Amino acid sequence: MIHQLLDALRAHPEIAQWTVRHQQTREWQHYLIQNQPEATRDVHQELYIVTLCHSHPGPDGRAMMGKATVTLTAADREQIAAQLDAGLRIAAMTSNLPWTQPSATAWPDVPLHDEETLLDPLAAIERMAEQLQVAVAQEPQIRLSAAEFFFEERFTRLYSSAGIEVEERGTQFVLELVLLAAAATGDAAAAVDETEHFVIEKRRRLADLDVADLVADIARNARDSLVAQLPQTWNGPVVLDHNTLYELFEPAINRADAQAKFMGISPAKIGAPFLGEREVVGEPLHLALASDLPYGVRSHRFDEEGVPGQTVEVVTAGTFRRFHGGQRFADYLGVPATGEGGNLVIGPGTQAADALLQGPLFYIVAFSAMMPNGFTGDFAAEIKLGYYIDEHGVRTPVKGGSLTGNLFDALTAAQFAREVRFMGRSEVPTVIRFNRHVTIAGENQ
Amino acid sequence: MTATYFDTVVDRLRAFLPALIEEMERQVPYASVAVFANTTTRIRVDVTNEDILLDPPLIGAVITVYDGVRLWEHATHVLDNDHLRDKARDLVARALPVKKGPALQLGAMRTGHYTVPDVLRRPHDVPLQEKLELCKERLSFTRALDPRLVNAICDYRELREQKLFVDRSANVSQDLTRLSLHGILIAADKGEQDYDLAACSTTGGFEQLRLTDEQLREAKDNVIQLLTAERIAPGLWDCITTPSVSGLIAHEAFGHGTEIDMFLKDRSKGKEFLGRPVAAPIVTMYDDPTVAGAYGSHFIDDQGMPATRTPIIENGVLVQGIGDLYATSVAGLPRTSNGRRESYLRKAYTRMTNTYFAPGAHTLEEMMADVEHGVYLVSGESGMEDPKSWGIQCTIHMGKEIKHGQFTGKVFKSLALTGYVPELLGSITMVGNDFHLGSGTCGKGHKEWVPVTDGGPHLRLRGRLG
Repeated sequence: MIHQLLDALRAHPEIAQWTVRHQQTREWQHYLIQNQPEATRDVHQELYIVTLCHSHPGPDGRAMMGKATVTLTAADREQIAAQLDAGLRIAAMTSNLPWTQPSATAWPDVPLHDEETLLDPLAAIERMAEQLQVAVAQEPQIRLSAAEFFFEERFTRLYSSAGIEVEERGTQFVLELVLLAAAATGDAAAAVDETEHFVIEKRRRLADLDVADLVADIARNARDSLVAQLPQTWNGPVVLDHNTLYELFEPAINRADAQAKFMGISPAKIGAPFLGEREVVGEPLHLALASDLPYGVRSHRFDEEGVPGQTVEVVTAGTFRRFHGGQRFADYLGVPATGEGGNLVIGPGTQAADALLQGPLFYIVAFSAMMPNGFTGDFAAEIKLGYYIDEHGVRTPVKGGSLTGNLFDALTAAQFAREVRFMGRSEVPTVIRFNRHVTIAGENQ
Repeated sequence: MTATYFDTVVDRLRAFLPALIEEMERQVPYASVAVFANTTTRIRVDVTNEDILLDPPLIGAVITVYDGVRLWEHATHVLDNDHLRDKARDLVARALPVKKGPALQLGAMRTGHYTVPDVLRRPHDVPLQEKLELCKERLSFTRALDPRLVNAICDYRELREQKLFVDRSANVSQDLTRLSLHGILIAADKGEQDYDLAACSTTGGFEQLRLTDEQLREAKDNVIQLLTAERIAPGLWDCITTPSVSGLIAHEAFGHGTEIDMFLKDRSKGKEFLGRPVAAPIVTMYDDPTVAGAYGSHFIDDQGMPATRTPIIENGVLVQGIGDLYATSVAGLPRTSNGRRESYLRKAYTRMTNTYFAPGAHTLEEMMADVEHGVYLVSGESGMEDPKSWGIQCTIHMGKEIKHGQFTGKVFKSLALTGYVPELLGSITMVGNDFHLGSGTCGKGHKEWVPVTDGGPHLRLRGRLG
């Protein structure tokens, strides 16, 4: 099939440029409700995803380009020509400035797959499920609500009209875990009888997830939620745990996107302070997107056009350095293509996490959902669990109420822990302390 | 592989699958096969780009076997009879021996093919060029509204869902197309930037999709006001919610909390409150996939269950949950038409469809009249449920200050509405006589995205804002 498809593409006189991604995916899924298996699934999919471009003059006579994507399976073997023609007709409808294709190059050898688990994925998942149940059983007041395990293997072979022929093999593991904590008999401090805490973890390899540690963390959070109270309204320092950072930084990643810049909706300027004219009194931001991070969930050898995986230093010492983006928008801006955004990397600061956690402050370990405004950086998120830490280091669990602020304002007075932690799709300081520009809406004092 | 591929195989499979089911059920208590073809066309134009994007179609089959306790499934994109038979036999072999467990509640025999009636223009018959021109025209209109609009995006989505479901009680199929059109307006002035959006959606005919001048002008007015908006002083506020925000509350507060698969996981407080008051007596709420033309509607769910309206809250009392085949069978609760999959690649969960508060008696003027100092919550951005603790988080994009029953002109941005659900719903003192549903995409936790709507009337309530 692939040779037939490539031959048809090469022979077509009207296709200006093309890529084919041949994807073979297998996935194993296992679901527990409490300690009982609810479902076990396996999934198989094989696709040929063809992107093709058509060159034509625009309304003003300038050279323009349009693209379309058609997806084929083996069942389409007899319709290849017709499908390509249909795609080409769609590509001819849109008119954009032309862009180039990446050339064949030396792609990095980024480790992406879990060889050990691939020997018998379902057995490996079931072993992990057993380990998880054992770990849960050892936690006082804790029981399992639900767990979902997804392990996927994907082979991708990329071909392009620029002469690219490259392949990668990657795996991805997703664990969704929900634990319940019940109040101990006679526990007068418990605000409720039972609470839950959940987590979704993504890794390339099962071995990168320590199930016992994870269960211990989630169990502690669930138990603390039992006695957590609504926080006081607060305008002082707030420390965010590494678990909460990926979503919080999405507006920063958006701002550095080449497409956003081309669309006129990003104020970022190369060589200028990333936070604009705001006065920075905290530590400077270092932010990178790394698609060559070993076993990073967002790592790759090459992106869908063939741009090699790489580390893109987006912000160093508070100064904006590079836009990230694929070939099209990089061409439009006249900057090097970096490919699809990789794993979020935030540079460490100078102080230990323990020092940054000196109270009085609030330390937030989980939000119900951190979904900031991607344009402005404004955020308002309910606190799922946090702690008020007083000046003596005494921790009081809190939940409810919300943390509000603006990411770019908050980063002007931020301090980053010197310890960093790999979280699958990010490598970030273990905590970030925001000394100003964040507010907790809670009980009025 | 396109939607037409499904048309070429569906009749063959409709005839072949009953015998395969019968063969599997000689060894296991239950088997089914569901075949799906989800194809998505997106058109996105802004001032700098125009693109037509055909997402990789999700066309494939799910073979399901129940061993008395556990569901075993194989999902494949290969739809020929021999392949499906081989995989079905493998699956049965893996599921054996049969265990002792609850029987699945299959319901009455049902057959037939369902599609939206009275459609003037089937979306897949409308030329792509016409859809592209529609987007360009709406973009052009929007751009001319105000020089502070630095860009605008017109985003058309067409999701065609074809499916066939066969088990021993059903041989049913459905073909419907969900459409949405969004205008996203981005404004900048004096170093500030923000956005607002206008949206319309339907399930059915292309002629039903209308993003009006009035909607776009309102979004323009909103985004210009947001450029100078402030953050609100945290605290408890008298609030009036638009249907958009009412819907967000309905979806997050009780939609997720009454999903019966959450009952099985002991993740929902709703389980303990069935038959008990959970809201003010003037509050009634439904999940209803039968709403004609609504973006979250269907005729059959992904497990072949015919659509019916489910009353969730009636006069303030929690009366019923919503559920899929497995969850309702294990819980021993009535099955509803809420078993949905993101695609054939995923398992079926209990999912919402169109979730809304029923309209009441009050006009907006009556609701505003005696608000001393409050906020009109205009639009939501996102929400997240915590059914176990009955906590709620709604991120509100825009709020307008009300003093002495009138808007003051002051605008708030990015507000968090949080609280304890029974307190929030118990605080509802007026229910509007209007009604609107807005479209969106709902995740189960942070994944498993399916199209839904939520909405209702304006509500007057007291909420914690931050």
